[in-house]
Amino acid sequence: MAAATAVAAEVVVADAEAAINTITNLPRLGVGFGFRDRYHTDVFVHRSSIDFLEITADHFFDASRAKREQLELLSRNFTLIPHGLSLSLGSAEGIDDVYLRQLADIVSAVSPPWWSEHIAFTHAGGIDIGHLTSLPRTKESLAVLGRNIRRAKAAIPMPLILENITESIRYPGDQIDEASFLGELLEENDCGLLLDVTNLYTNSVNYRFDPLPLLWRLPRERIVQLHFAGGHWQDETLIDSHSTPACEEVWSLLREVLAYADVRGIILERDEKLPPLTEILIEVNRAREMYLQAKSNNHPASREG
Amino acid sequence: MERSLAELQSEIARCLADPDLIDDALKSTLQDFSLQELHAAAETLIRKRVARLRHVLPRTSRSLGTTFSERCRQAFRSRGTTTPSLQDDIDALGREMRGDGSVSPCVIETYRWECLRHDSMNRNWAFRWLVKRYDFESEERKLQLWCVVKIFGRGKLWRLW
Repeated sequence: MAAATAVAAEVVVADAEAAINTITNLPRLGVGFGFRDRYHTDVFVHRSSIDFLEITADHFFDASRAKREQLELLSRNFTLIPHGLSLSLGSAEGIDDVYLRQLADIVSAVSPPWWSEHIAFTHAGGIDIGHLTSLPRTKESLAVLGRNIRRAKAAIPMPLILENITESIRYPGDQIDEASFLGELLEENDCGLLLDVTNLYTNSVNYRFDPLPLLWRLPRERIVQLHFAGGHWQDETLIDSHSTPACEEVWSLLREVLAYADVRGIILERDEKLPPLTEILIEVNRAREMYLQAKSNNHPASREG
Repeated sequence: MERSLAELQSEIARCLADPDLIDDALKSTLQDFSLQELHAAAETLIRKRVARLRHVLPRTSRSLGTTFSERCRQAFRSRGTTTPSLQDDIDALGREMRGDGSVSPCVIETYRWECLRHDSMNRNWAFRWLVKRYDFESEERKLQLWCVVKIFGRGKLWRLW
């Protein structure tokens, strides 16, 4: 009996190690940006300056023939990471079958090393909110996320990484602190973290906390990809609007994250006031210098590995 | 009685999704939320939304009267508050947009600015899709669409871009 228990325990440990390896063995992609139609031609002109692209999967749902051809063209020339917006993994009422099928089709079409979605809910009570809305950090939320993630992973076999969002509200009834919530969520569901550095910074400003202690409590081996962007101030609140170049505080935090974790890819996001691609690439190149510097420093995560 | 996550989410979604429901939702939320902390959180969220809408709606009512804005509202109300067919919604929008178009540019610009500030990604996509579908070439028409997307567009439109 004791031997059987020991064997079972070993199997559990082996399974756990294998699960982590799925995340830690992901390829290093470098630095890119979120593809937008405006840059359709320019990405090929500047191909050598772009390591990979993130696509918004929703843009290609029910796509016209032209959009499908665009996706095929992009996937032949770039590594593409599909990023979902509205799977609503945090919805207590479950995730939408049609949406999941459409998302699975897009992920399958581009065969990415991983794909990503948000730790949020976007629909409830039959209503599409149109916002990424935060969840209370409770055991119930973890259970709902787990249930929905299992369904998503059954439909999409590639590794899933989950993104932290900017929080319009924080629920005073939270049962679990943010780092513990994220850690448990990622471990229990064998997911990576898409750490949006700007979102982390934005929340730290709006809710007045130091982001570094939180960062240092995150499971570093599960931090796969980063997002960063610039926002703007409105009524004494920092808005994650993806409308400006990243501020220096975000760059500093980005550097801290790269020193902490063996990040596999960085994506610059821009959705408003889209500048010429050459301006986007200035930030991409700056991020790449940081990324390469961090790799050359043989940071702790690599050494431990 | 403490609300379940599903109930809380439905309440928040209802408040966020329809400006017409906000005042009622605010009242019911204040009355119904039994857990004080969730109550306070929902109130914060709703207040933000109300404040945002109050910023633009008075100008709307002054400038639009019962023409453009009200006709759009009626078109949607006639479909009920459940989830109507997206295609029906868009077709209704299209018909309304081809109406008199007597909307003050400054009001439209206000809405447009609001759209840029809030959820701009989603609304950008919805806007561009609608412009393409209905071939609205003039700037005024495009700005009118911003208005419609702002008031009614909500999330599901973004999927179609």
